[in-house]
Amino acid sequence: MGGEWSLVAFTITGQLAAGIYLFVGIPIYFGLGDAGAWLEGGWRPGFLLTVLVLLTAATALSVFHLHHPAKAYRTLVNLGRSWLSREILSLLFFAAAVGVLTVCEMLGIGGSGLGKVLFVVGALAGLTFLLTMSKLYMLPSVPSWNQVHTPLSFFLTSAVLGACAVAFLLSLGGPPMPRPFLALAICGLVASFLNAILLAPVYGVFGVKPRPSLRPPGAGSAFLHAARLLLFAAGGVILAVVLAASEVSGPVTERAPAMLVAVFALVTAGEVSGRFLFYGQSG
Amino acid sequence: MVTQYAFFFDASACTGCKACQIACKDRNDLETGLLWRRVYEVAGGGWEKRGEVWVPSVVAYNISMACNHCEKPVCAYACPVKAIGKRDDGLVLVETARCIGCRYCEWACPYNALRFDARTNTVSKCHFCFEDLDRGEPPACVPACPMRALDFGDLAELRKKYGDTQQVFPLPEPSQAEPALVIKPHRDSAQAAARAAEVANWEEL
Repeated sequence: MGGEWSLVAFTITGQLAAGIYLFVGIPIYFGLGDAGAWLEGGWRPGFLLTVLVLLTAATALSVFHLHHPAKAYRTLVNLGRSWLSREILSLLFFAAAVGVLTVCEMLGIGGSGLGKVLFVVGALAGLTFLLTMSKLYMLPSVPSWNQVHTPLSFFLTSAVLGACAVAFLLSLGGPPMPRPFLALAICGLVASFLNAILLAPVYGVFGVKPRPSLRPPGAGSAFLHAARLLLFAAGGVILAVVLAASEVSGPVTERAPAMLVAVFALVTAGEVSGRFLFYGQSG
Repeated sequence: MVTQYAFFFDASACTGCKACQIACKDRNDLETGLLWRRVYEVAGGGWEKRGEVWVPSVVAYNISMACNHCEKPVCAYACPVKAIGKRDDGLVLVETARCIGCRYCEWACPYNALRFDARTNTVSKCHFCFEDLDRGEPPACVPACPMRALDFGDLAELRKKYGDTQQVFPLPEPSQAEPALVIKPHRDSAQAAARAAEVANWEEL
């Protein structure tokens, strides 16, 4: 199971990059009241550079699972049939779109209509990246992957981590807290929690026998399953506390940035547990 | 001219001696732990009460399985670098020099036929002993079987000779990859799922 660590790191880092791009970019480029103004003042184009760094890191991490990384440049030759080739292409396209937008921001022309168009192109590329990443694993030969839970969990990872990131950035500006993003992160976490519970029997966590096949049974891990649920629950409780106290200045709002960093760490750890569990099902 | 080479396997005759597995390892000089042909031991059942009498309901049979050189080679479709190709005679071969070792094909193959070779750091699998075949000789596993449970030839001819069964428990749905495989089922295989049979020798495979 541990042998897939580079794929765990690649998928989560890539999904985090897409989530940050969408959730920080939408308020900046399409204006969401005070939130958009605060982000635009302090985080443009910093968030784009962050996304680029994450995408570069994801690409570098993905190479570690190759046994002949020097030949990795050939991975685009089977675009007609291979979802792996398509995933790499969509990753490169996403990174290129973010790169062009970053240059525009640095040149001071990102605030124009051109910036909005480029942002939308990047958003579509990011969503395509998430979609190809999901399709890659939806193999009929691996029944536990070949279901709607796979794209659902990948998109949820992106949404929850993205919403947590933007909530943290907005909390740095002090009260009022970013209620819509906090609520969004909580909803995403609840959905992820339910998705994990629904997946437990499929992953054999509760001793359910997998469907017989020529593939060795997956390594269902009750520990990883429980860790994911507990980490999500802990993150959700802290988010709820911050949300409940978001209207008034006080000890919670003062400590909100630190609390949201803790939420981000807990949710990321939960996602890592869940992803190791996911790869353990491949047999 | 052969358009699709295929294997025939007679599950009703196989005793599970694994001579085919060993002949393959010997012919291809495979390292310990690397198997291109594997013999799955399927077992299940136990005792069941019929009236006042307990009777055995055991199911037990073997399945010898290598790469099925599928008509729809999903491993080749999955490979991002086109390191897996299909010859005019239907054989699906790995071009080791092109393989980047991503191992995605291992997940894609429903027959679990692709195996990682630590010597080359690439995937590997049964190549139907194509060099022998091109010289007019059979794949090593076929003549090694003391029960004559294995045969090979053109898929259409094998179907004429042995029928068109491609799936017995616990093989996957043939529609996934359209395997070039014909099987004569063991009499127990029809009861295997109902009697909760499972592969009993994972540690060997």
